[in-house]
Amino acid sequence: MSQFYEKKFRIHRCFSTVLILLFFSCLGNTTGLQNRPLEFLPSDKLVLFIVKYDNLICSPCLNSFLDFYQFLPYPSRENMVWGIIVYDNPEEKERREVYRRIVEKKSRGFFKANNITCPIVLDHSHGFKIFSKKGAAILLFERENRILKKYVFPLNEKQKKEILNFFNDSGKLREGDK
Amino acid sequence: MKLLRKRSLNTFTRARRRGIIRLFEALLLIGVLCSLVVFMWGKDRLKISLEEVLSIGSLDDDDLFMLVGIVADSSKRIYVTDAMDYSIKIFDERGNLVKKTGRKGRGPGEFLAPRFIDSSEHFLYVSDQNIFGIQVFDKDLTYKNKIPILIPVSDFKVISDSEIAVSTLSMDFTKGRKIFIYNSKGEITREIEYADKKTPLMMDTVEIQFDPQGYLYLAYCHQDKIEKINPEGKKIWSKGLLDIKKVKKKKVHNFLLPSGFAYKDIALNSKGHVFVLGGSFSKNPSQDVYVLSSEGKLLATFTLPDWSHCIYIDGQDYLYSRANEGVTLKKYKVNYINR
Repeated sequence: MSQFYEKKFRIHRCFSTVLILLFFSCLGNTTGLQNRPLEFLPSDKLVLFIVKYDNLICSPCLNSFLDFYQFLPYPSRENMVWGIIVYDNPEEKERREVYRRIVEKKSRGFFKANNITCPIVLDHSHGFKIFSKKGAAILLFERENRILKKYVFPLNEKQKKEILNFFNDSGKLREGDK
Repeated sequence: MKLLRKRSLNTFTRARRRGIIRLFEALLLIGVLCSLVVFMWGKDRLKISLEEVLSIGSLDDDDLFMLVGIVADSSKRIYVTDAMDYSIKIFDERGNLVKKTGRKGRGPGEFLAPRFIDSSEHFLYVSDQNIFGIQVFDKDLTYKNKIPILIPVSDFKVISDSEIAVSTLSMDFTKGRKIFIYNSKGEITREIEYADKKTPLMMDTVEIQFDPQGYLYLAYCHQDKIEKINPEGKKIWSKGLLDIKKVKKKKVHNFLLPSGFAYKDIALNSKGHVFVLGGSFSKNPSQDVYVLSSEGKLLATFTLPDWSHCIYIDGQDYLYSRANEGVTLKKYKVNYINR
C-alpha cells in the first residue's frame, strides 16, 4: 500500500515538475502584470505563489499569504519569487477574452496596493488549478536537484522555517558564485 | 295529454339550455373583459431607455480596479470606493481621475474593504466591510474623523451633516429590526422599526433610501419585499414583484444564511420614482431595474447593459451602475417614453 502511495507521489511530483518547466518555457506567451521583463528565467531555484483570483476580493482569505510575503528576505524574494493567478473561464466563450483582461486588471491593482513587486503571471493554461484547490499555496522548486515541495497557507512555524531556509541556502549559493 | 306534457317539457328544457348557454357566454365575456383590464393595468405604463453619457475605467487603464460605492455631488464630481486598492477616488465630470486617497490598514484614512460612500453638503462618509464605524472625509479627501458605530453596517444614508441612517447586519435575530439614526458623535438619536417579527439570520437585511420629505424606502435583500415607511415609522405600503416563495439557504460556518438576492439596491430620482435593482431571482439577474411610483405602483422595468451590484441616481437624475465586473463605471441619461 505504501508503495502505491510512493508511486503516486512520484508521478505527482514528476507531473508538477513538467508543468513548471513547461510554464516557464512558454512564458513568452503568457501575460505579465508588472513592468518586469518576462524574458527573465529563474536560474537554479524558484518559489511560486499560487493564488486563486476569487480570493483577491476576500480580504481575510489572503492575509496569511500577504503577511508571509512581506516577511521574506528582500533581494532574493524579488529574484526567485513568481506569483501565479489561477482563475476559471466563464462559460460563454465570447466573454473569455474580456474576462481575462478583467482578471489581469484587478490582479494588477491588488498586488500593487499590497506592495507585491515580484512578477505576476496569469495561468491561462489552467494547469496550476490543482495546486490551489485548498487555497493559496507555495511551491518550492529546484531545477538541478528536481526538488519540489508544496505548502498550503496558512503555514505553520516548521513550514515557514523550511521555506526561509530554502531562501537562505540560495543566498549562500549566490554569494559563493560571486 | 301526454304529447302536450312532453312538448311543454321539451320547451322548458330547451329554454333552460339556452339560459345556461347565455349565462356561460356572459361569464366568458366578463372573464375576457377582466383579463383585458388586468393585462392593461399590469402592463408597464412607462418605457425607459438608457443613453450612455460617460464611461470611467477601461480594461487597460489603472483608474478603477473594483468599484463598490458611488456618490456624485452638485459640483458634478463623482466619488467612488475601490475595494481592490483600498481607496476613495474622485473623478471629474469628464471621467478624469482627479484625486485618490487610502491604503490598506486599520488607521485613519485606511481601509480593509471600503464599501458604501455617501455625501452631505461638506463631507464624504465611507464604511468598511471589515472595520466598524464610518470614516468622514472632506470633499478633497482629507480625513476628518470617524463616527464610532459598533455594529456591522449593511447600508447607510446621510440625511444631513448631523444625521446618518444606518441599516445593520445584526446577528441577533430574536428581536425586531431597526434603522438607527446616528449623530456625528456616534450616538443613536432615533430608531425606525421596520420588522417586528423575529426572522432567520440576515433575512431582514435591507438597502435603504430616504426622500426629501423623510419617507424611508426599503428593498429587502433576501425577501420579495419593497416598502415605504413614513417619518413617524408607520408602514405606508409593501410590495413584492418577483413571486418568490422561498429563498434557499446554505450553511456557512454553522450559520444558515440566505443564498440568493431578491433585491440588490434602491435609488430615488427627483420625481419621486423608486428604482430597485433586482438580484438573482430576476429574469436578467443583477440587470433588471424595477421603477415604482411613490405610491408603490410598478411603472416600468428596464435592463442594465451589464451586471451591477448597485445603482445610484444623482441630483440631475443620471443613473450610475457598474460594468465589466467593477472595473468600469457607467453613467446613463434616463429617457422616459410615455405609452
